[in-house]
Amino acid sequence: MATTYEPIATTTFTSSQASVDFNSIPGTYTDLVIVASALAHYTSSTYVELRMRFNSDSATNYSFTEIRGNGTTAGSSRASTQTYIKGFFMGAESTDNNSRNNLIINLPNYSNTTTYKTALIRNNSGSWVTGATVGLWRKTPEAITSVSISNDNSATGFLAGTFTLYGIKAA
Amino acid sequence: MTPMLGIMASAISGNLSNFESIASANGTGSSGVITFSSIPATFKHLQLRMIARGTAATTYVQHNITLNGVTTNYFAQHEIYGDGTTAGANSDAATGYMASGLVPGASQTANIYGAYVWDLLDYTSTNKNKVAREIWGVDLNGGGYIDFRSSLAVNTNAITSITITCSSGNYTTASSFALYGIK
Repeated sequence: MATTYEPIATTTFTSSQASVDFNSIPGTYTDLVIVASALAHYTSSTYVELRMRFNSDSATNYSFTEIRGNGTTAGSSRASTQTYIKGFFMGAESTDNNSRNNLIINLPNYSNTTTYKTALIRNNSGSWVTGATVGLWRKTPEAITSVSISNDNSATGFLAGTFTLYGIKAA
Repeated sequence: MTPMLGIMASAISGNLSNFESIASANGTGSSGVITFSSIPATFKHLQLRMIARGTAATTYVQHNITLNGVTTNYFAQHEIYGDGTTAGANSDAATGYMASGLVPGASQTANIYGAYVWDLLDYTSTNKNKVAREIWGVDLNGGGYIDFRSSLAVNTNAITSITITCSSGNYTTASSFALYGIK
């Protein structure tokens, strides 16, 4: 039986890098899932806001709606007409260099050329929040062939971690 | 063994080969019903992964999910949601279906689709009622929701079919539904 759920690419790093990029993503799957365990590289806060872009599109084609709880309060926000999907978070090194925060990004039906793309994101930060985000990419529909994830608070990106891109193939 | 961490909202772990495609379907534009029948009992859990948009000229419609064709005894549907301004929670009264996520209707900007990951755990049990959990989201570039939801079916039978019904109108042809089994 053909494999339904399989890793496409993994990047692991132990020193800082500005972004994590998956390029030349094949269009042979139904959905993509990105799973990360990482630490943001930022010393001025306990957490950072992350951002994600597809196919190097830098136009204002992105928006998001998010919900989060930080142990005291729950909240929600959104932003429209952005140059990235944002509104998802990761703990930063100022809290604990040994901590890793997990991030799961679902990109369903990423390769179709008829719909805008909707991302479902779950983020769990040891130092700050647990949350979820829905993101929208409104570029004239095209297949997602590259994903770039970076740190919106600082160009220093990530300090350490592992990001894996999986493909899921429907019958 | 590779941890299967990529399953949204799931702590299930195992080999990636234990996540298998069972069946998939697309909307037709002329039907609001998607049925997965003759679901084999060879898995531990089921996962539906969907994108959807409705044809009804309204802002939202909704997925209504029934199990084994039963249209009674669905209870205790709870959700936590963010609407871009506040985080809130709701519960629904008993209904004839498991209320799933909202689906953008034809009144919304063209080409916007909602995304849904719906899990049904221990679906072959014959001595437990069934609970589904879901994460779904729709962003409208200025509106929309991100939502966690659970639903109870008071039904101790093994589940052999799942029907997803659009609450009004039909599913567009680009709507996509895929059922997976997890061993």
